[in-house]
Amino acid sequence: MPWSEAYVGDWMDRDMPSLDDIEVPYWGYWASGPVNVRTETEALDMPVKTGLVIEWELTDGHADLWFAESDEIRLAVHDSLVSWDWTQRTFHLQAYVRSGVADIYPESTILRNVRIAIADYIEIVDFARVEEAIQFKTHVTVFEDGSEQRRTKGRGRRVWQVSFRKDTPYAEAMVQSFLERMGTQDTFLWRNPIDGRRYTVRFAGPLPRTVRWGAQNEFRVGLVEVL
Amino acid sequence: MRVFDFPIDPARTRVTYTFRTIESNVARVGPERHRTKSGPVRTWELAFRQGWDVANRLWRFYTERRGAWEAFLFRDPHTGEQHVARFADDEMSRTVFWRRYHEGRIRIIEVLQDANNVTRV
Repeated sequence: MPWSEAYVGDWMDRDMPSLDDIEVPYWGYWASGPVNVRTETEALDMPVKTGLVIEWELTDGHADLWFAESDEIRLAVHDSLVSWDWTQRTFHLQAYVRSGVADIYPESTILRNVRIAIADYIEIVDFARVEEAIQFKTHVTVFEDGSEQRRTKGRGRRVWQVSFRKDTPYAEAMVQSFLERMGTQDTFLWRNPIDGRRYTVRFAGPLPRTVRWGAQNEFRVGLVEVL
Repeated sequence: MRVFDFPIDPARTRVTYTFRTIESNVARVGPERHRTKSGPVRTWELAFRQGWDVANRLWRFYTERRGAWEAFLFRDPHTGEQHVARFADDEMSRTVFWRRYHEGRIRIIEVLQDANNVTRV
């Protein structure tokens, strides 16, 4: 059952699932209304375990995000996310969390309105650099006088080049996922980190894995939309 | 017809003028004759380095034109003249850094006479 359908509500209400209720892999959003930070003393203290991306957006259009990858992340929101300037403003907070082992424990009631997205490991890319392209097919016939006629074939197809930095358990999961999908054969759903939409994709080619010091795993992966 | 009105990176723009010329002396015997069939056709190579909103608007503009298919009005950044043009390539790519800054290059080619719908302005 998609997360967006199954787990929507206020934080920690009776419908909020515990980790035991969530199957792996899962993904989706938990969303609610805006957060109001009234004073700096209400700056949020939100320990995060295994959080990857926390993204927030002000109603005036300003957006920012915080990115890290660790098994044990304790993120004091008032230190890095909410500065003094953020008081008296309204914002949305969005968190992407790696599947299966992740959770966010808000300690302040004000975080009842945080918007949270929980994504599968393959949706958490390295945001430092994402390459996206869209391809069309147009047949152009140029006549003798220089005029041209064009015909379009099909709809645009997207391709991506993304990087993943994973520590070993998730790297193994990625490799296992690649093997189970027989490389480029099987399709799967993937969320484009640029527009937030899900696309049916397949791997574009091999899965190169670079391991540094036996700990940090890097993947540079091509994904192709399947129309 | 839609108008291309996106800010481009002024650091480097390039325009190329191309004629279609037929050379009659293929065997290299006797004098050469050349006939120009059409042209000049301008091709602009532009770079963009933009924030989220403009980059997404440009992306949508390209997608709605279906790549090289649909022509639009484009103002030459050097001369200020407006031309009927289309995207030269059927692929547009962008690199997104930290989900904020978008970079990419596009090529736009002049359409002398558009058999699809519109003639030269």
